[in-house]
Amino acid sequence: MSLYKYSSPAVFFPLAGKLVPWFTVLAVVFFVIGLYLGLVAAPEDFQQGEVYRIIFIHVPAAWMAMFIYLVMAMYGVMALTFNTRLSAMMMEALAPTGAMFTALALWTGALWGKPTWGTYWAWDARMTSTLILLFLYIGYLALVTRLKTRSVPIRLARCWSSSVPLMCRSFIFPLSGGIPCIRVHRCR
Amino acid sequence: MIARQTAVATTFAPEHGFLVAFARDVRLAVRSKGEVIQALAFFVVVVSLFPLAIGPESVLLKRIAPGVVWVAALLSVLLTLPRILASDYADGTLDQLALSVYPLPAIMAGKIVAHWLMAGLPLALMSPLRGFQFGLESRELVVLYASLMLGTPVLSMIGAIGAALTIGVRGGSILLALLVLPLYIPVLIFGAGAVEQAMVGIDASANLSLLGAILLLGGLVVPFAVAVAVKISLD
Repeated sequence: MSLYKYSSPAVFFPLAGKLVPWFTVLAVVFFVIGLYLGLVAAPEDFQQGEVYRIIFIHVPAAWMAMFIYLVMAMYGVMALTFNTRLSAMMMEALAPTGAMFTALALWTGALWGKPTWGTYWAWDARMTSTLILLFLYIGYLALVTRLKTRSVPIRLARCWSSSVPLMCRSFIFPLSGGIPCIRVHRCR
Repeated sequence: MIARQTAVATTFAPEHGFLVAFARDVRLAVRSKGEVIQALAFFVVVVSLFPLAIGPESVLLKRIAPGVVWVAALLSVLLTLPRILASDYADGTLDQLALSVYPLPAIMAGKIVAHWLMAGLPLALMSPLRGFQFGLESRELVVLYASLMLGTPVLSMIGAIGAALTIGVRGGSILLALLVLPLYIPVLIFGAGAVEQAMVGIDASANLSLLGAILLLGGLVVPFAVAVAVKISLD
């Protein structure tokens, strides 16, 4: 009984390959149930009307945007301290999803803001910090993509190295206006 | 024999590695003065473009002065970042530095300080004149100068991490900007914020203290981070 054997990419990859279809099915099922509950089953808000339904997508997306970043930073720390290759790969694999959720949070937030606040965009600390988060994701993805043009072993080493800015970022990011990790969300 | 050993130990001390790298980079920069002057000229030109684009309205210009000077300083430092490591990588010096007996973090610290001396310090020294151009008062000019003196070393440090990660990558300079600019945001906020507080008559020391704290933290961590990144990039 040792879970540690899955920290080897050679053992983990076949397992991940077997699990992907199952997770896909689960994701579709939960997606449909969640959308039904949010868009159909939930009653209309007495103050905001139908517009409020966007929070069922917007709030989880904003949470995931920040949470995935945190998990990436954690994998970065693990990759640096234990020098485990899988941690660097996990970090790399999480980045596109995180960027997607950040973009989704910004987009749905703008759509919600127009009817409710009367504007698509304001330079408020929460929005600005989410935008910066998107820039950080893009920067990380750009670095990883560029480094992929190199040969495979070097690429792995480079993934490892790219956790350095990621760690620095996770320390610097909360300083940059607004504290994104413990922010109170804007649902009233 | 013992004396000889101590002599060897002191010669290879970290501070000596720092001084060697520092002296070398300063000498290189002094011998190609053009690059230093060009970066400074870029800063002056960018700052001077704003009154032309926005119009010579003194109230508005004074309002945007801290932000304009800071953004221009940031871009100017960004342009000089490849100088920290790229040319050393191109001619193989970086490999030699990594193989040398001196600890790599000490060498990188020397290079970062040299970069600040050649890229950041001239901007800070020049900034009161640019602020004056925008109609800032003497007290605000002092705060602008202080914020740049504290902030530009941080720009060099963060930039060095970016430069180390993008060594030898094709199209690295755009990637470098993409990586480094979001990380410059806290420095920009506190730097420009300090001057803005001085403009409305609030004590700017809180923002300046935060800049100083970032500087100290960076000085502690960054040379090691850069050394790790350089070692991996050279593999």
